[in-house]
Amino acid sequence: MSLLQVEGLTTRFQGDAGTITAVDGISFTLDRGETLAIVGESGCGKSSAALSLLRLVPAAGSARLDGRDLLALGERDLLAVRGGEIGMVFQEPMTSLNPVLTIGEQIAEALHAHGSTTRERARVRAIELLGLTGIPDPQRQVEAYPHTLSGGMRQRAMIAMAIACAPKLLIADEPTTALDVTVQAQILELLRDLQSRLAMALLLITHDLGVVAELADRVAVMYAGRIVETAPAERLFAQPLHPYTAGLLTASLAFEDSSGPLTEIPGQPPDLAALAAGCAFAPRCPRADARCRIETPLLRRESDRAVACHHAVA
Amino acid sequence: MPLLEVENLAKTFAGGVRAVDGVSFSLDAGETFGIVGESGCGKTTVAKLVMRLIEPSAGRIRLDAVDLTALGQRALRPHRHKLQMVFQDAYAALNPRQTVGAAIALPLRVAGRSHAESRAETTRLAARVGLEGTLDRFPHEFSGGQRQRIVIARALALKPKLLVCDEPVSSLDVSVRAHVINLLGEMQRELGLALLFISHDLSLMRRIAGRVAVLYLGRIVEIADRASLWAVPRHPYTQALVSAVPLPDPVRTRARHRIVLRGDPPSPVNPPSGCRFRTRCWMAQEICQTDPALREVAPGHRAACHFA
Repeated sequence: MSLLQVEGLTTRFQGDAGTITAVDGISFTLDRGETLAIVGESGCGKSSAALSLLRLVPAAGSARLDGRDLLALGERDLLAVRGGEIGMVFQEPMTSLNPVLTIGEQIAEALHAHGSTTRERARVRAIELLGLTGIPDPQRQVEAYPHTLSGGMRQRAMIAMAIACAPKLLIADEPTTALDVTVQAQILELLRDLQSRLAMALLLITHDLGVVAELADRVAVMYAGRIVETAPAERLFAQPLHPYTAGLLTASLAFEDSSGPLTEIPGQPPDLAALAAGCAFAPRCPRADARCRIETPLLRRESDRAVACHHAVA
Repeated sequence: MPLLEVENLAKTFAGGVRAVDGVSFSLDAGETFGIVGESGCGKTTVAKLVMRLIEPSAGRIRLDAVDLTALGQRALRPHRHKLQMVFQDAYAALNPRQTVGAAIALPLRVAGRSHAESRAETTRLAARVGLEGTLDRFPHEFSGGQRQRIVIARALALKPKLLVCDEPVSSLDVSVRAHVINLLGEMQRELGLALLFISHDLSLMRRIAGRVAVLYLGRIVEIADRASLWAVPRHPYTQALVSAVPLPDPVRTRARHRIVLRGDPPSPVNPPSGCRFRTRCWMAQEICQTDPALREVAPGHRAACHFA
């Protein structure tokens, strides 16, 4: 059985322009120790999906972790899951860390919340966790306040907090987006290393296909609140089936010698408050025809991958 | 003769932050010159200095053989139209209470064009960047990519010779980024524009810049033509950067040899003595305590490393 089974996850927000369906009935599974990347551009619903799993935003559908539906948990059980069985790393460590508590106190908070432990033991464990995440001189840094740390070190501290209670699942929402490329390389390496050491599953939320290529076993591509394609990472990159995935891949630069204009995906991402009928990608799609503007394509499964398109590539 | 010559440019901010510390480069008309580096390396400060948005602590900036650094703000004004800037955050660069038409017309009005002339030129510019019929709308009604096109139209209103682009697409989605980059390329060809392109994105830099300088803690550590730089980076920092570029290809990215640097870039308040990269460099020796000169290591290729 999969560690995480998500079915029909739906997240709606009430906006000025009416109801916005940020996540529109997505389903996916995640095995123990596996890395699934949810990839997509701003507003596609990838972060809302992640927040929904922890019920940080209200959601409908079901999300079973080891058989228990996270969306049906009572408040007490929910608190035990957050930071316990599921750890979360956010994009911007500076806004996620408490500026008036030391790193050590914040890690200890997580430890105290999930089982009584003495102050001294929590401190020892915090130092251990900081060491595990590659923070130099952890005995000293445990007393440090977030503002005294660099961006990379703050993200390491965030990761230390997230893994403090040995979660089965780590959700990382754009964990390296705010970081420089050399620091990004360090954090990606750290995530890979921790994942195999702690046998955690990783749900990686990102817009960056480079990060996906580094870490993911499987990939789900989101567009306008839906999963439009899912496949093992190597197969997705080698042969994308959805025209949007194909477009994203050609628009992503591959660090190679080439010149001439960049490949564009015409048009703009859709306005979620005013989605037309049919496939949300149709207005920008080179393959779209009359059917695409009427009938929303469903995710069709074929062996280990799936695509939601009436005219899948190849 | 180069369009832009920057010589020993330096900027020390209050509190002793040496953001830019002796940077020299030149840029020909119509050329795209890139400055690449990580946060805090001083690349945005170089952009602002070239624009004279901030005053240099030392050094010369010559545009069309005119020493801009010798001019006061008033004397500088007749030269302002030659250089314009596109900022990273287009939303912050536009006045939220000003219509698109008023934003694009402002430089024309400041330059003394008549109302009718400005209006006509504004209409033409908006159409050129693909936003015809939107002059009466406000910035918040546009997407990020569209806003950046408005900023570009405004920057091009006075037909500058040099466009300084500071991370112009970093906050845009991949699918939209290409429109903006392609638009800049088209405008460059149409107007014979030179681009000073600042970015942390090596893949983008490799694609668009003919010559590139790599900046680390306020200094150029390597400068070369695109072919030479990316094929054979000579400075260890450039090598590490290149090896860390995220590649959208799981097979290639997992197979390659990656140099993972220790630690973070040191603070520019108190940079290391000698070679500024030596605290993170795997090749560092005693000699690195003395400052390496930026010297020619191949034709048209200079690097500041004792071992390059």
